[in-house]
Amino acid sequence: MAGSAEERERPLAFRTEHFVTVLLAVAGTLVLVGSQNIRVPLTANVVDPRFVPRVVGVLLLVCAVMHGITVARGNIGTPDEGEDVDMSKPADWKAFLVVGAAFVLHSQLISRIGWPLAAVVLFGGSALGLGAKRPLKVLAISVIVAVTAFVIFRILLGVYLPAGPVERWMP
Amino acid sequence: MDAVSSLHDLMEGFRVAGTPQNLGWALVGVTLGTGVGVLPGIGPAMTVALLLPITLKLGPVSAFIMFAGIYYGGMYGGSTTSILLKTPGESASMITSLEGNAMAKRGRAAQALATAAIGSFVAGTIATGLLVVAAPRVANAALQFGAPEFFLIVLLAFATVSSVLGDSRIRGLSALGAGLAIGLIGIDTQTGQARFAMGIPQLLDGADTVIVAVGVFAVGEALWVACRLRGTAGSVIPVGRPWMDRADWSRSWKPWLRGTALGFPFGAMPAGGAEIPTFLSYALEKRLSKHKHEFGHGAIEGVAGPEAANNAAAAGVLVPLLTLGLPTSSTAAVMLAAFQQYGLQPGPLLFETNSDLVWGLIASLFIGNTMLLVLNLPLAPLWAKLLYIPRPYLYAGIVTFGALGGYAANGSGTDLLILFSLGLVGFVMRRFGFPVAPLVIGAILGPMAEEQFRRARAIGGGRYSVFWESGISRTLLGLLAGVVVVPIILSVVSARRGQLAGPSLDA
Repeated sequence: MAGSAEERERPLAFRTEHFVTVLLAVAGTLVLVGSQNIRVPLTANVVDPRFVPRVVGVLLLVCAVMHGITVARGNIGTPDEGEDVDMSKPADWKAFLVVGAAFVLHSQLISRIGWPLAAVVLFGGSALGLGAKRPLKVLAISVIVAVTAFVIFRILLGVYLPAGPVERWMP
Repeated sequence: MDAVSSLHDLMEGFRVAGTPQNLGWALVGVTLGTGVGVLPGIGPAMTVALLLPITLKLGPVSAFIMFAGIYYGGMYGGSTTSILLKTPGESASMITSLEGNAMAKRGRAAQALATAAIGSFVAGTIATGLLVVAAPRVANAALQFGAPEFFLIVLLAFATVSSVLGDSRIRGLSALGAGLAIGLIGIDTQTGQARFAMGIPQLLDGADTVIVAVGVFAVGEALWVACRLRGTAGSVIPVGRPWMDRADWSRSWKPWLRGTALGFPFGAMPAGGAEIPTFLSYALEKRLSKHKHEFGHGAIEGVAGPEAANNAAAAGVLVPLLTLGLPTSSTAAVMLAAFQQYGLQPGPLLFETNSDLVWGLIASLFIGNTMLLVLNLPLAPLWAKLLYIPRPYLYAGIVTFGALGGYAANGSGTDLLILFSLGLVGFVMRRFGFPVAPLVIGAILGPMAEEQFRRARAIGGGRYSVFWESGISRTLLGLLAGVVVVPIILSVVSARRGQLAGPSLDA
């Protein structure tokens, strides 16, 4: 739905919306530039491998322009609502960063300390970042979740997850 | 393909799905599907995406029998959450969350859950029956489709997902464009050239569809909620065992049937989806009801009709998915990813090459639906307990299981970084009100559209006229024009009238 009168008068949201306009323009440009670098073999058919990427690049640029116009006219997107989402408060970037950091750390730790411990880092880090209050309780729940998931996936379902320090005791 | 042979194939499907082991997988599927689907903020698409890794090591037949259970279970769980907590996991359960939650607030939660559950069962069963009749016929007709027709059908799906979903066409189109760009990544199937792989070996195979879906749905949602988490969790309306009295039954059965009649055809069209029939069903029930004043404050017809329409559409969506390989909802897009995980390409040939799998899947839709009714009426109060999970743990769990799914597919840490980047994309889209379904569908169908487009151009020897040579092509072009032009005309007309009636499609 078009932004309500109240939203239209919010100058801050009005500006931040153009962040997406820029993103779309950058994406379109990258796709167009990148398509220049695709090698076209002599055997290429009627349509060479650069054609569709160029169409997509142009589409993204057109979207960027139209989005810019739409926002400039005062139609700003409504952020995703939900019972757990509170739009009346300013964004909690600390929580966002903690969850993000836990995720990236997790991705790098799996091969070093095994999945269960890396999952404790991810689950526990995210829970703390999201506002869980008691660290010991968080740790206990993280261990339970990680071990349960590991047992179900690695042992019962046979999905490979590195065990880390206990690898040599794995069946 | 006549009715007798469909029935014979279906019986064969029941034989496949009816083995004790496969019944067990169906039961696991409905239970997990409901359990995960009940969790607030998790819609059916995310339910299927999060549960994908569980089936990694199963054979395809058992895996799809389980998926049938997860698919219907996720929808079932979603309506429970909508009614008790007012969190629609997807736009198709928006009405349920408005009207059903209003009923629950008036102390009629048990009746709202009952009419949703029984209505879902009735609609799901009838619509699955219609699927049995329709799917082999559509598959048969689709055998005559060439590359030009397939390309146009995919374009039609693009046009509808980007203009129907979300409240702004330009945002839908941008999401689609971003998805298409993601779909470009990887080795070009026709010439073997690497495109946009940025020197990352994991990207040469293309962005894994499971990772795209889990990234924008699960990781994106968790990041979004992380920075906006409400201090106090929403209030859950306590509920006992669902039940209905005679008056509720007599007010419910007609809306169930009308909802089914609306839902299935909309779902089955290659340009359908489940949102429109639920809105139409609500409007229809409001018009026909003797209790118009109750609408908006918890009218049972307003839950019964849309819930039936939603479930019938969910069965209908399987028609284009199984017969054309065309997902028209984000849940169907994740299901398609599951097929691709097994190296299966849904389409007209699937009914011949993997007949036991397709019919086993369809048979277990009937089985799963029945299991859901038998299990969930008594278990509803238990499922409702899941709504009390403290939010930090809930979203930590979503991230952790999303990451597990992203890692388990290929056992690579790089995949997790790709997953995280897609999560950031999902976050930005939520912040600025972009629909995520067009992105997922664009990423999955983009490569298919390109392949068919290039094949069609080769067939036509470079002439574009190949796209309007057959009667089917011209019909599809007509539909495409309709889908693109009609909403524009409607929005111009309604803008002239000054007042927007109903859900606005305005850009």
